[in-house]
Amino acid sequence: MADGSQQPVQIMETQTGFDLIASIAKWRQELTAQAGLTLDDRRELETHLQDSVADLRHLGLNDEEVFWLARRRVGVPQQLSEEFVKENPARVWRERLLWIALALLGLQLWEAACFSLGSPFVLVSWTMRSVPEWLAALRDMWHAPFGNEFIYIVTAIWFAVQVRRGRMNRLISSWEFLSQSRLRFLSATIPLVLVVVALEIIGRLPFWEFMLNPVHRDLLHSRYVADFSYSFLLSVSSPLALVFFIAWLIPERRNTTEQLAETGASVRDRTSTVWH
Amino acid sequence: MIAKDLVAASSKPLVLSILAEGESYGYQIIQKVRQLSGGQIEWSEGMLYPVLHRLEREGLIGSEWKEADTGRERKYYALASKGRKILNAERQQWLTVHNSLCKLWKLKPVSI
Repeated sequence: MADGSQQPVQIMETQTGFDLIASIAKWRQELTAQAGLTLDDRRELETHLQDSVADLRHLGLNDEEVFWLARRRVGVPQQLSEEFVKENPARVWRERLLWIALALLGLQLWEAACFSLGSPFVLVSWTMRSVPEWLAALRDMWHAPFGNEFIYIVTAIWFAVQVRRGRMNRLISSWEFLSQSRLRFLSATIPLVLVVVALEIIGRLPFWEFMLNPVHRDLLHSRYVADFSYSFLLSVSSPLALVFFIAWLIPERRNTTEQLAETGASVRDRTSTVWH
Repeated sequence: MIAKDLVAASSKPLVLSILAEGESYGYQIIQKVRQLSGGQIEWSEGMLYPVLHRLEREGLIGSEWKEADTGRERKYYALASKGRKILNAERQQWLTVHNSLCKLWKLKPVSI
């Protein structure tokens, strides 16, 4: 008897316990898996789905019915993707190229950032007349084979684990923010590249060995500056080239906004009453 | 229901004409077409968005992400000046076809 009275309640719960937000998130994932759709396409299709859901809800359907109907209307992700690719195959490759270039830049910056961890030792050595034992030991450890590579490998594993667990949302949202305009992307990444590469070179050059000896200090100072400048220019050229390449690949919307201002102004008064 | 070929051919003048009335977004355009045709023309999303993107690439329309009053962002499309010119040319061609058929069917042609 007890079992018989519990069962209908459980069935009721599974029927009404439909999670609309989770279902939309799952649909979004399916869409992300389609190679032919860019970030912008997916955003646009999602707003379409949301509009469909909002309209269907007014008809008095429950969330589950609303979702399945809206999903059916928008279309199967794979078919959508095929239609989009057919229209402009080059655009998909442009986006792929963008991600490849971004990954390369990320890899270069990350490597530089790992090596730049050595720069504090150098800067401390510079300000101190004599280096304490422990600092010298740490410094030697850093420069021993696999000293700095160790950090590189550990962070690589950490990053892989994060990706595997799907914790990429913050990274993706920060990219969405940066990719909204070329100027924003350039003004954020160029200083980052310059600073990280400069720190990396300070960490790599055997700075303290010159600097600790007061006799050679002045003599070697100019040599250090020359070494530094040469290495800096050499190391910064590749990430900077990538930065400009990525900026070029980012779709720029400024032109179309101007066109909108031009043509949209006359009709804005009327259309503003239509939107809701 | 209108045949597939005709739906595809008429998508460009329809989109341009709807945008000539004011900026709009994908969902609204599909609703509008359904309403205009009395449900006879049913556009799918997989068809409309590629058309919108092609027209944008050709410089006939422009797009912009904008926040609606509800707080949701939508991608709005608007007619560009080049699109207005193309629309006029399309209009001529469609009306020519229309009038030819009208004459054959002994219906009253419209003035171009």
